[in-house]
Amino acid sequence: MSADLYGLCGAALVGIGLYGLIVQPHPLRKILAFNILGGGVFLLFGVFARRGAALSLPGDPVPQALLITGLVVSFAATALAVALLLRLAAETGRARLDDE
Amino acid sequence: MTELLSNTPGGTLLVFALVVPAAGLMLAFLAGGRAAMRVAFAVVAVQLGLSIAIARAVWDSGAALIYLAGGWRPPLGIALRADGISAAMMVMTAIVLAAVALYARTNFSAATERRADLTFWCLLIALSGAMNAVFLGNDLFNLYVALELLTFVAVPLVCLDGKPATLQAALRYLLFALIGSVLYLLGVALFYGAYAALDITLLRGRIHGEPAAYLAVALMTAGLLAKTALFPLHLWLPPAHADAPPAASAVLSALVVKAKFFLILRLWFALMPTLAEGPGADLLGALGAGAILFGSALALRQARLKLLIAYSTLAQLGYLFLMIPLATGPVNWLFWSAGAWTGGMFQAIAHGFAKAAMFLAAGLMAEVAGHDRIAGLAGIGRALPVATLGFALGGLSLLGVPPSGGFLAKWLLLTASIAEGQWWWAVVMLIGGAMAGGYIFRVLANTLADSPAPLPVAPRGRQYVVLALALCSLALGLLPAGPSALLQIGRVGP
Amino acid sequence: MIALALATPLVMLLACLWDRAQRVMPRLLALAPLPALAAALLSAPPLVIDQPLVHIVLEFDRTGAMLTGAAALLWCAGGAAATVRLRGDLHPVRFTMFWLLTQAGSLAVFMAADLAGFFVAYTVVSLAAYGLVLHDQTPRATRAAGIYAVFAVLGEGLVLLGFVMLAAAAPGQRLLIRDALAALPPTGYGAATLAALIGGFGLKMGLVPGHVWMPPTYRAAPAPAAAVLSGAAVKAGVIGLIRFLPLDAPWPQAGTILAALGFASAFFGVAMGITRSHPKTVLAFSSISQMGVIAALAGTALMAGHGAGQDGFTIGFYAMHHLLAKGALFLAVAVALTQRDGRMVPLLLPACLVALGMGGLPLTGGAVAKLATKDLFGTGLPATLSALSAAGTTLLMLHFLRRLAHLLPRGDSRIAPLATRLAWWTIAAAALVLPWMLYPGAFAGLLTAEAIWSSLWPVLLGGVLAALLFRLAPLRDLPEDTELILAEATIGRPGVWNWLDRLDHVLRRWSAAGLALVVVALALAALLMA
Repeated sequence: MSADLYGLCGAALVGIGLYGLIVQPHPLRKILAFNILGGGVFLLFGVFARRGAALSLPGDPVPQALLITGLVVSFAATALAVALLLRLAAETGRARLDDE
Repeated sequence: MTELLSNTPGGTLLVFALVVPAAGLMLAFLAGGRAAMRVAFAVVAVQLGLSIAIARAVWDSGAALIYLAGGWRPPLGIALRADGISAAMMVMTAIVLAAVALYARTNFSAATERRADLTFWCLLIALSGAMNAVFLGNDLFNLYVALELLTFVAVPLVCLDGKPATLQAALRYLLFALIGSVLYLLGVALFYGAYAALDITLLRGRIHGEPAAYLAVALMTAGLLAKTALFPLHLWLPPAHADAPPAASAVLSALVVKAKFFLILRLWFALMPTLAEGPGADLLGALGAGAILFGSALALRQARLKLLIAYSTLAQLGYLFLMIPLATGPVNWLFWSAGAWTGGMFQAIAHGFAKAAMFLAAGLMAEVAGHDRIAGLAGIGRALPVATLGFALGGLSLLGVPPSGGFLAKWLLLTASIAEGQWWWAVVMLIGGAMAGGYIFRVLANTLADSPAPLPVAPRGRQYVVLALALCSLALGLLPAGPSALLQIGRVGP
Repeated sequence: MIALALATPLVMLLACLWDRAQRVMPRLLALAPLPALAAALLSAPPLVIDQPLVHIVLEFDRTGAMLTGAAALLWCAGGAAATVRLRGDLHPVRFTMFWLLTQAGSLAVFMAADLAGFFVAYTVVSLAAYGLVLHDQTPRATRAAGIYAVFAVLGEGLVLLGFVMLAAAAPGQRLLIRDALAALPPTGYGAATLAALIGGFGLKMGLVPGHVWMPPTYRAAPAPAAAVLSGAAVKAGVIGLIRFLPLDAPWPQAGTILAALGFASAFFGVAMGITRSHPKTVLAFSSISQMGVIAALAGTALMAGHGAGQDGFTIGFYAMHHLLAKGALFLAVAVALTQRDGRMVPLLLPACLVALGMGGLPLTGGAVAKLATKDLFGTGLPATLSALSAAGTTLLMLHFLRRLAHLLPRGDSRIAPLATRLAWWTIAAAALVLPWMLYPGAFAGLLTAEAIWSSLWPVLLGGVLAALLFRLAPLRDLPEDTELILAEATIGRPGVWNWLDRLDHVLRRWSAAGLALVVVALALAALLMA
């Protein structure tokens, strides 16, 4: 039951993140939206790990390993994006993605 | 033919192709400065040797090379696998990287140490590793990591010079690529959730048309399309490829986008070989056709040379996607389908060489002329005769003039499309070819024109690098027998 | 031998990359085609390159050897004239390189017996000629070269489409042209293939309405280059028709269309040609007209379907005469342009013979070429149209001679360089004599009163027409650049395509691209799960 709940939460986070990434104009908000989106996907990994518990395991370790790797990657991505954004803001005084 | 997942002779080579750049990167980062350049040269040279050795091993054994990391079998362990297309792409990558390194020696070795120099050489080493990881990965999650590595290498390459325009281009690129990554990762999660495996070979046996698999592969493909910049998802490509330093543009256009396309091929032909027979393949083909027409038309309209080349990349990527609806089909089409497979891969390889040559040539032209406006390139032909020749040969390969590799690629795709009754792709390819003729001739006419004031004659060294790359593209058309047989090794049929 | 023939220009081309050889090569242009000439004369054995995916066969048949020989002779003479033209030129090496490349393609195209080899040669001759047109880099040359490139690439595309369709109908990697033709199904597919091929080769030959590139191109190219382009290079289209039309079986509809297209070009070329004043432009229109006659011949042969051997040779024979005659007349222009000499007879007398020979003046090579087409055109409408077009050609050629004489200044006495004059005399003599030597039938048939009269009356008619026109209705000259303007207008005015930039701008906005990504993902999912 709780697995389903987590799954629904994950799906909702994916939706919110995607919406934010596409609609929010400010790059910082996009970066945050990306993290929400990522969070949703990681939650799904958690759900699948939990499923392993059904096989009388304490939890499938593989998705957990994937999740941790994924977190590291997404952390690195966020760091790179923020660094670029800061540099852009420092160079131009404003930070926008579209020219108009 | 079902493959067994176990170590094959020569499999260890695959590990070296990943470990060498990883070690090199650390070494270069620690050593810093000019030493980084030397390390990069060493890594690039070793990678060239390794990739040729891998290609030979694949060729000799006639089957894919496999290495199981730590001896663990999938689903728990991770497999590395090199088939014909991996080997061919690795060789192409290694050659292009070697050429770019030779070319960039002048640009990125200032007497006073600059951060951009160190960054460039480190990124070049990392790129070599990330590309190989994409070509060798047989595990979907491993491939995700490889993809991300590639993005993290490509984004800083775009903004090496730190100008606001390139920073903005890099940020756009990064954010859009990240959406793609998440979509890909979502697909990976779905696959694991449904089949408790991520190894491509294992999954192929387990998938029997469940909706989850289709949803997952659709998400992953869409994510990869965003990273490949297939029309209409090309928002980041033109500024990113056009404003980066020439050496960076060359690897971005010639290599990085190909890696993403390579993964799409893996999904559509190795993971779920029946996909390409369905209507989804036609959608990809249609987007490819749109890319050809749109990219070529916009390339014709550009005033700046590097933007023209970038839009031409957009168009040439379209040809790759035509391979997907063509390289499949009923049994009586198998002959043509194999042709389309070879043609598509030839296009990827020939375009890699040709586009790298063109971007490097454009860099030299910009150095001599001080700008890259096409209308102001008069006299370049005289100042840079060898580079102009290289640009012309590369351009003619794009345009599909025999006997270049580009011609053979287009010929195979064209015959496959006519023979399989999908003639509409042929019409698009021919229109694209005519427009390519337009934009290549436009550049050449300007470079051949007399300049009012003669430009200084530039040194030849780097021009020969350009020519050598263009000749590689040509050689593919002259000696296609070996490569085309190699490309069929380890190919999974429906 | 064939390898040597093709390697010679290519090796000379590579030598141009070497600084020290650069100065010598422009002087050796006349020698480059000699091995090909020898190979054609000796009917050298075939050259076969056999590799998977690359199967190339170069060989001589009767038609191919004849055209190769004539073309090699013209390239030789043109080379001599070009060497003279290049003295004091700004870019002798560049011209030499394009010249050699065009020449290699132009000669190889007559020998290729397989699809791949033919296409390589055809492409090389078409695209390399661009450099020759561009050479002078006047604004007119730049524009003409641009138009030339557009039409060459379009023609290439159509030819490629035709080849692809041929190849797709005949699976197998070793595609000889005759095998591919044998496998062509007599259905809509076959007709579509023929349409693509005729369209492609028609563009190359300058058939109406794809002729607009030809007058500006020949006008802009240096005269020796115009000679080889109009004489030899354009025959790539003719050999294309000879090789790729399935002449062994009747194709009435395709044949009728081709013949109609041909005759339309034949008369259109005359009508437009007499309204121009520069001799090179007039000659270009004469080329359009003569290529029209050749297309009409090919169309008639396609309608009848007697067999490729005989009819193909007839077409080739007519083309061979045109190759030499047109080359000779352009060389005459080259002489006239460098001549500062009042003595007109050594130039104009042979020019008269060659020019009127194109109309069929009895006893000239041209008359032989015309008589050779008698059997193919038969007696009905095609024969009448052919005779009338000969009258038209006579008219056009008289106009040309007037304009040529006009070009010669009087009083000053500086004679054209010997090499140019020799080149001109050689090709003029060849145009007059070679058709006699190569005529496949008996000479007796050519010398009957009936035969002579049949070639004489169109010439007389043309002469009368010319006299009437020149006296009674002085023609108003059309501007030289009519075709250029026409062609540029068809490609598109600036501004028409601006919406593309706007579309790109919209698509590359973040929100649009993000939405597109979602749509693509959903569409893919829907299509895959359906």
